[in-house]
Amino acid sequence: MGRIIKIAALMIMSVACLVWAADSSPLANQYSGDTPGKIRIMVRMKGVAFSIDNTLWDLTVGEGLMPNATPISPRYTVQNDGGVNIDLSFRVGDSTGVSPWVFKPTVSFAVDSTYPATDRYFLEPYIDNAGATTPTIASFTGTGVTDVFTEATSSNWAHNRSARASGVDLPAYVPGNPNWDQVNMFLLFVAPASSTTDIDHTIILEIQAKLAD
Amino acid sequence: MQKTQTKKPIPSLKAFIFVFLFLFSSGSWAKEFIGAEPAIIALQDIFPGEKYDIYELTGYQILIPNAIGSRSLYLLNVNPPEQVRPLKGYLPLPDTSWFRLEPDSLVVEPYDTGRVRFHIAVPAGDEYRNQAYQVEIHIVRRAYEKEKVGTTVGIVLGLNLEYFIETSPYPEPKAKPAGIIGVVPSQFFIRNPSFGKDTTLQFRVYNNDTLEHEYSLSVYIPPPQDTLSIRLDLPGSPGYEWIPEEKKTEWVKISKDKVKVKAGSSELVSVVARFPDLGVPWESLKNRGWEAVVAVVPDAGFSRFVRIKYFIVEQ
Repeated sequence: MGRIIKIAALMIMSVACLVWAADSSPLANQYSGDTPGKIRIMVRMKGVAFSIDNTLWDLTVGEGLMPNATPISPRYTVQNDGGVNIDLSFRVGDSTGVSPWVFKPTVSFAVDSTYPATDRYFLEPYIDNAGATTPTIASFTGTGVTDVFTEATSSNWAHNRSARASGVDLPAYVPGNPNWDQVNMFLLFVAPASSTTDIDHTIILEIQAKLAD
Repeated sequence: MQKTQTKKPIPSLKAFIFVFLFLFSSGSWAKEFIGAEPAIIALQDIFPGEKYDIYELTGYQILIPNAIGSRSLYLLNVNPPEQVRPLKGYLPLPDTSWFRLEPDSLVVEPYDTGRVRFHIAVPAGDEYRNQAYQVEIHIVRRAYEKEKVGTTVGIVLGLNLEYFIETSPYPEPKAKPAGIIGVVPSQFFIRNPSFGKDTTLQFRVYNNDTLEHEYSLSVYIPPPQDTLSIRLDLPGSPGYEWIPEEKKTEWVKISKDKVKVKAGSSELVSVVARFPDLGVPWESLKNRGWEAVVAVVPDAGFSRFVRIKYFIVEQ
């Protein structure tokens, strides 16, 4: 039923795509010399929108966060809710800006010395088809996210999608393929060498969307 | 500053907003959501030195629906130029103060829609004519609040809206264009062309870099898009249709496919524009317009483009 509503809404939204000009005769535009002319505007009345089913990963559950622990998060489902294809990108940072922990951008999982030092941590997203199995640590490449728009790293980019410099491409709803507007995301966290369950620390992962190019 | 923006009814958008919210509120599984529209706004003929309140002029503003059942705080900013990776043909807006958001933070009640106006003010000066800028508006929903003691990863959702501003074209500016690359003029207008008649046009490519660059020149027609396949690509001009891709070389011929320009210098490029016989009476083409773009792509760095517009109107 939800899909039927979505299709109906998409059809109505497609009618709502507008091209509009502030000038009633846009074909008459010429150089306007020293005098401002009328502006022209082209608008696509569709939205960039997406959602996620959970926003929290509590790393202190169970055994707690041991030094250099490498937990993998539960599954997150990310869905494109708008009428346009979107590119997702990621960045990570601390919630307070005065944290004792600093993000470490790369790790080589086979080399212990590359793991985060006392005051550092590592976070990396993995993207796959909706319903795919949970990845192992071998699925992650160790590139991580940086504080400037780096795409998730994965060799399997889900239906019809690819990793590009502009991010993970996530299509709008595709009739007949109800899961194609969704991806699953898993996060790998590498704890700092001194981490314990006593450290009260919040790390923020921002997922950003933009109209796909 | 946080405040709830006063709702302003827009009759022409009411039905759309209703559907938009209904669509998003139907997904009850989602615990976090962010959305904003329009996906694309492209403005042309913005005149340097003028101030524009786009909502006052056109009725358009940024809409931010809150599709979840809790109040949401949204923070907005224009990304600084060093963070923007612009679409080919555009330069990042050099100064974020030229594009002002009002408000830049707002609280939206559950299932309501936030509205954000924007104002454009490109400084006066001929160096700011013939420009094409990309504006990246970053919106983030501040929803995550620490719920537990201990180490947690919290996920917040954000999005970027990519809007485009082209300043008014002018063939004889008193100053060379600002920015690392420039074209003058940025648009040509061919009014009431005759079938098969050639029109020779010339534009100048400015290299404001400290290195010599070689620029590739080609006719570019964006791949077709419909309302179900909108992508980020060079937007067309209101009232114009793109010339057919397969016949673009009949319409536009560039004198050379590359041009070298020394650092701090400029070079002229000639283009022959022809309006081919479309196989229908000329009179039947009144009130139609066609455009093509000459892409100017350097060996490194930002690109620009020149629009060539043909239009047929009553004499």
